[in-house]
Amino acid sequence: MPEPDELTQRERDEMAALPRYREPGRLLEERTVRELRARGLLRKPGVHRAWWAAAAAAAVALFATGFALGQRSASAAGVAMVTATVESQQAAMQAALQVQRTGSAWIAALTSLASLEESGDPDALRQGREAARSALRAAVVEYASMAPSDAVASQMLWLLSDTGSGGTDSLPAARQSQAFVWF
Amino acid sequence: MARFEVDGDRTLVQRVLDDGDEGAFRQLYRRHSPYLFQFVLRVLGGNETDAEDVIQETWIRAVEGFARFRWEAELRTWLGGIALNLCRGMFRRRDRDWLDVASIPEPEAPAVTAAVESIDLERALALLPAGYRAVLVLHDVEGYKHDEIATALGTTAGTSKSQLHRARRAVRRLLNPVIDVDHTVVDGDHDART
Repeated sequence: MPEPDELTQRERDEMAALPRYREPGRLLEERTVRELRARGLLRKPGVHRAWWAAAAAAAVALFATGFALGQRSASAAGVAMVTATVESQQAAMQAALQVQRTGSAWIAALTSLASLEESGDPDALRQGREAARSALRAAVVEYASMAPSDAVASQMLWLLSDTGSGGTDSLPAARQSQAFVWF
Repeated sequence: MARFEVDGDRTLVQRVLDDGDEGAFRQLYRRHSPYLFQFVLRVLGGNETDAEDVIQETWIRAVEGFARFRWEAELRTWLGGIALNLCRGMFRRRDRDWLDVASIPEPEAPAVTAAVESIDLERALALLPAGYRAVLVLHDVEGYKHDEIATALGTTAGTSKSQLHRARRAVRRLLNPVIDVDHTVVDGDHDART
């Protein structure tokens, strides 16, 4: 059914010439974001990345500490300090529990890192990896300093330092025989 | 709308849904708010404060409802529908009969002299009663059909047609007042424009 009073061509042109876009005030964006944050619908991006990176680093550090403690508990090495720590059965049990807890935290950290990888945010991912590697390296150094002759510690240290420098090839023959001296 | 923009909307909405990603929301906001703001501002007759309130509430409702959005229409169309519904609520709170054809008086032509004998279309739209303006903006500016207007405004297609007829007549009167020798504005028919 035709309109009772159709627009003239000139009127159509005038309607079509009306602007379709207009920027609202800049404050409106901030006001809207603030309101959405207050309702828990948005999260600050900086906090998000830093939180995951910190969580990953903390989880790795916790795991590494527990791992070192567990090793000390299980080891019969004759370091006096270690022996004193793990003399009792109760201490060994606590250490084992600590390892178990830190293991769970490690899994959670890996899940966090995996989710960062899926998010495709290279900065956050790099930060998370860097934090994790630093914490792990620090823990292994601590562990190796307590058991300098431990082959596992030596291998871990070599692996971390090699990864840190970007190399991933197999262990060179010259380095295989390298003796680590700590302290 | 370009395909990449639709895909971009989907990705950004998903990021808001999954992570509360503020950066993704800001991209959506900056992409669609200029259109929404102009649309709402026109429907509301140029009241910027009210328009900003409507835009803010539109985004809040949209983010709350992203999970229910099925992508059967473009995101911008859906956002426009939310905004229009909010405008309608605003009009109704002020006047229950805002869309009642019988109760809306046709606007008087503004008092102008020969020196200022016409106003622009935007100003004329702003001077219309809310019911006239909403229908005319939706039909003649935004390209809605009468049944779509009826659904959006909670009325009938017949009412929409009546409102449009009266709205166009009122706009023509506002745009082309006839000025007599004493510079008194009188209503007139403008055959050249009808």
